[in-house]
Amino acid sequence: MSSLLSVSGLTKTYGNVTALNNISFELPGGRIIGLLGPNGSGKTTLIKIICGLLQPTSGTLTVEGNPIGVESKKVISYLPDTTYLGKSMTVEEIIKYFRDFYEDFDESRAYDMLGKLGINAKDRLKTMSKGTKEKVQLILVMSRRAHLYILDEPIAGVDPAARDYILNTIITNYDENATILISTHLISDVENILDDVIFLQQGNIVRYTSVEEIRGVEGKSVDSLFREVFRC
Amino acid sequence: MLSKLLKHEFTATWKVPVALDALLIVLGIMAYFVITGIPMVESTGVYILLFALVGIYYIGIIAANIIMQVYIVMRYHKNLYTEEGYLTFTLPVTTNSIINAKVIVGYVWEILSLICTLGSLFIAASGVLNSVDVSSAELQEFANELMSIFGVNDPRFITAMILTVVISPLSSLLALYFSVTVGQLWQKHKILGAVFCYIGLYILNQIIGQVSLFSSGFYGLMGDAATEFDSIFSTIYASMLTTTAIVQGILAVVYYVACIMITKKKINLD
Repeated sequence: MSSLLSVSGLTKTYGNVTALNNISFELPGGRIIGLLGPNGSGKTTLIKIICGLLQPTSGTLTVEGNPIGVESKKVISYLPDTTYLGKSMTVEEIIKYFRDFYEDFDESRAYDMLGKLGINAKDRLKTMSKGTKEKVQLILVMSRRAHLYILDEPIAGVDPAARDYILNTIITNYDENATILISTHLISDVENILDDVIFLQQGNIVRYTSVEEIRGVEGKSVDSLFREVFRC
Repeated sequence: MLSKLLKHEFTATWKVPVALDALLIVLGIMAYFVITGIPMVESTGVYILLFALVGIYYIGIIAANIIMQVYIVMRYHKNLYTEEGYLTFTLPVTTNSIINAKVIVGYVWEILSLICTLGSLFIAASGVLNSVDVSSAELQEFANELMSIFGVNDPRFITAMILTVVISPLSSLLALYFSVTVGQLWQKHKILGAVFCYIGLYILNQIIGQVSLFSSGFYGLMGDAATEFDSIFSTIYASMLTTTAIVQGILAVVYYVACIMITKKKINLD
């Protein structure tokens, strides 16, 4: 399988604190991968470096052979763990923004999903509840026909019904050749949709394996393995 | 992609600058009507009233310009270095395009604000001229004398003035952007870092300005002016403005390059 994302010798330090410690891995296409680890394990730092929001201290990254830059950003669809859209903008304006900048943005898909949720595209983001804002962001991110979706804590802070909707949206709106990297510590909610997991602990990859292997060979759920690995 | 960035930047920012520019013009018109409506008689009450009104007018003008600067720099900070930066810096565009769009749009609003400020002052000043008992011939003579002293007919003065008016707003805008960019390098208290950087730049700017005026011979000319005031006054101002334009131009280039390099190499979105 050809590599979609290649990370080699990646290190990120903040002063004396090492957030990522010389990690290397490759992500193939067509997989849903859980980036799992406790708080402060380096998940968000890794994601930000892949998305070009942080500069690594050392190491290299390529996305489809390109370094992080315009070409990599064309194929990465990123959902941060915070509201990142202009709060005074209407959903309609944000859709136009995405349509202008992302060639792979499917406007009709976005409106279709908004319609199913009963979200008025003329509403401003600042008038919406936190949950609705998160749904709008997810809709925008999943309306791109990207090669790599990076979702940072997509289900944190929303109610169980919304979690189901979000996970359903994720698995029904990506192309089979694309890869989804989901960062979360809510393992039990996502483990049914995962193909592979990466366990990150104190900036090190302690495990990168398939869910099939965890269940078949080790006879455990991802959640129980996570609790075992990260036991305090 | 720069054109798309410009389109969205103008769309997102036009309301506040246009409202402030309209306010500047309205203040000028109000000043005109108030000044022309006051009877110009020698009275302490009239002087106090005029003094107060002119004070309020100037405070209004200064406030509108400060709000404009703050708005432009806050937009830059918010759009690049808060949560909104997650979208801005994941767009498939180069860092140069992102910075260029901010510089161009900010500069357009700065220049429009300058034009409206001058327009407002012109309207208010015409009110004063209409109120005082001066014939148009006397006024013309006074204006000609003033233009002659300042060397307005001297091409060196005109060139230097145009260069200063074009370059100085760009330099001050880039100084603000540079300060915000440096501030985001701090792990914590990024806004405080930006403020400290701006204060440091302001002091440095003053020192560089004085040193360049010395080295350009401006103070030497000032010495000569004591004996040949009229003939050399325009030369002094042309020299001062040219030096200012050159220094501000160099600083603008330094700020711009630094903004690009820091953003490319040291981006640090928490």
